[in-house]
Amino acid sequence: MQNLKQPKKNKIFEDFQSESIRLFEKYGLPTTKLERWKYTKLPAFELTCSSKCDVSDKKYLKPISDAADIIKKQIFSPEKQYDMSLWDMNNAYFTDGIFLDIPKNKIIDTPITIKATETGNIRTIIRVGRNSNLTIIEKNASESKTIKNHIKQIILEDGAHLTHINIQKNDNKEAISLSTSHILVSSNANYNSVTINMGASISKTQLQADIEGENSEVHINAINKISGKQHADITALVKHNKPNCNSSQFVRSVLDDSARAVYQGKTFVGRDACKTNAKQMSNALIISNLAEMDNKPELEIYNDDVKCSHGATCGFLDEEQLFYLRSRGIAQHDAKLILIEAFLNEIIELYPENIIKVIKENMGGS
Amino acid sequence: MIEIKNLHAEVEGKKILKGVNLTINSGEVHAIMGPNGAGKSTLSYIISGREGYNITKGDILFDGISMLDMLPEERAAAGLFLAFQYPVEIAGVHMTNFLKAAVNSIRKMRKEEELDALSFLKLMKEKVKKLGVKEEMLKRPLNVDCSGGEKKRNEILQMAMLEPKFAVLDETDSGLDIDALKIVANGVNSLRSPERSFLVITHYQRLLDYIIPDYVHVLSNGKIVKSGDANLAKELEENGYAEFEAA
Repeated sequence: MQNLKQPKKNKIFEDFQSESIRLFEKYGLPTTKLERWKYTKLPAFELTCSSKCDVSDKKYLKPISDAADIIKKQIFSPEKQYDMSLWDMNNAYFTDGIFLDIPKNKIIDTPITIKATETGNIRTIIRVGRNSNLTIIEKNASESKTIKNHIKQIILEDGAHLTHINIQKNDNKEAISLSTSHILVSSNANYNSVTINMGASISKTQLQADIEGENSEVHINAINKISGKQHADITALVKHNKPNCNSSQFVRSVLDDSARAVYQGKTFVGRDACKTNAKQMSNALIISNLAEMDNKPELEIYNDDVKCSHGATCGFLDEEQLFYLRSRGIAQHDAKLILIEAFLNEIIELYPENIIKVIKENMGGS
Repeated sequence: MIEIKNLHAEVEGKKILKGVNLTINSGEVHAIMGPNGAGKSTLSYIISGREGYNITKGDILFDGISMLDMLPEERAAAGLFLAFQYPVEIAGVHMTNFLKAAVNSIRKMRKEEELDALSFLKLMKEKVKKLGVKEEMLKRPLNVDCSGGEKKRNEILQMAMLEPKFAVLDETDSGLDIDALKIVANGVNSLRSPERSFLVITHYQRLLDYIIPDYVHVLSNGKIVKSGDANLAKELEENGYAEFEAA
């Protein structure tokens, strides 16, 4: 990397801003030599601007400078290979961001919508206070050729519940959407997320959840519904560090034309994490012979009192089901659409009625 | 109404049907009985237009028009219905939504006005009540976690909703205990009318104690080898299919 634009001075984070730019100059954008990027090749691009999300309910917003401690405490890659350059790039160039700070004991019934529509390095910090409960609907959309490097740091305090719906619908066929989340989960907390990838030419969603308290749950679900030459990658890591926690990673992909989806999911169970119950399953429905699905579910377990499962399937539409629908007068094209919807419904219907409605409204017509 | 003429068919080069002839007029109920492997299910699938069968000779006419080049959905729109031996489970598709899609798709193909949500629900509730189907079934994914009896009842409900002119019941009795069998048979009987004909395919005679056929045919080795009235079924129950298989 050379000739990088010098970042705008960001007084609060000045010290690590310069360290970040040094690291980014050294390592550059992630390459397929890194395990977490093995199946996703990024084109060369330069992204030196900052943009931020628009939030529907501003009541709980605080200035990003209030989140300085959270931002500085971020955890660097434990892997031997360095793959933190999206963080470095973000650290170097974001100048403002969202800090959504939900106080303790707040039950917020109306989902809060956050929208990312513009090119840039985007930083979003969400902290859900003790025993609070909240749903966030994140809309990542735009009609122009945007490049977004969105870094999210999410903290759930004891007893906090966050349902996080992340809809990626960048209609532009050249858009690049990079979303990286780090989720810190305390005890009796519940992080339940579903990522829906439908747009962009390349989308890479990385999620890492560190469970640091007992009796907590983490659900990382995802849907990839792509066609043409689209590429969608879900790379997830759930780290069980404490006993009695549950996690699941359920991914369903519908791939048409020469689309390609990737699921790299890992469940890590540490020495102390007995009675862990963790599931991983990725199912892909291949509509065209040219489509490709790369599945890599992994388990890394250091405790023998756990229940963990992982698996992956790839298949075509079921001919028996198709014939059954057609024999009832449903035309072939419609029968296929019904089966595709049914396949995805098994993820969507894990959520409550009002959330299902939002998801379906956003998925319709794509 | 339905004329099957000298029908010959193969699956993967193996001859299954070797010249089936059968005419079913409006309002008639015909039963086809026969040993395993006689070609009974093949015949029902060929009538409904399933792929994978090579028809080498003969024709099937529905109201005088050949059905062989019609797609399964076109046959349904023309008024054909197949009640499956093994109704297919589809997780993620709810019975109500599925029925609405089917009813309106057929109406569309027939150039009739599609039903709105309200009139559809009214029609469905009416049929559900008449057939004694539990309303709770309608909210479930299609045939998922259903007993054999519930699945077959679902088939009859679908038939009632789609109001076919000609219905083929493929081994509807398989997997049913006697109570479930009676309920399903009553459902079928309630749909009998002078404008609707049925072809009941079965291995055992007991279904025909409840759905009394006008004609009974024995299908063996790809051909109809004997035809008679309802009494023929009783003879078969006593004597078995041995005499036909030897032939």
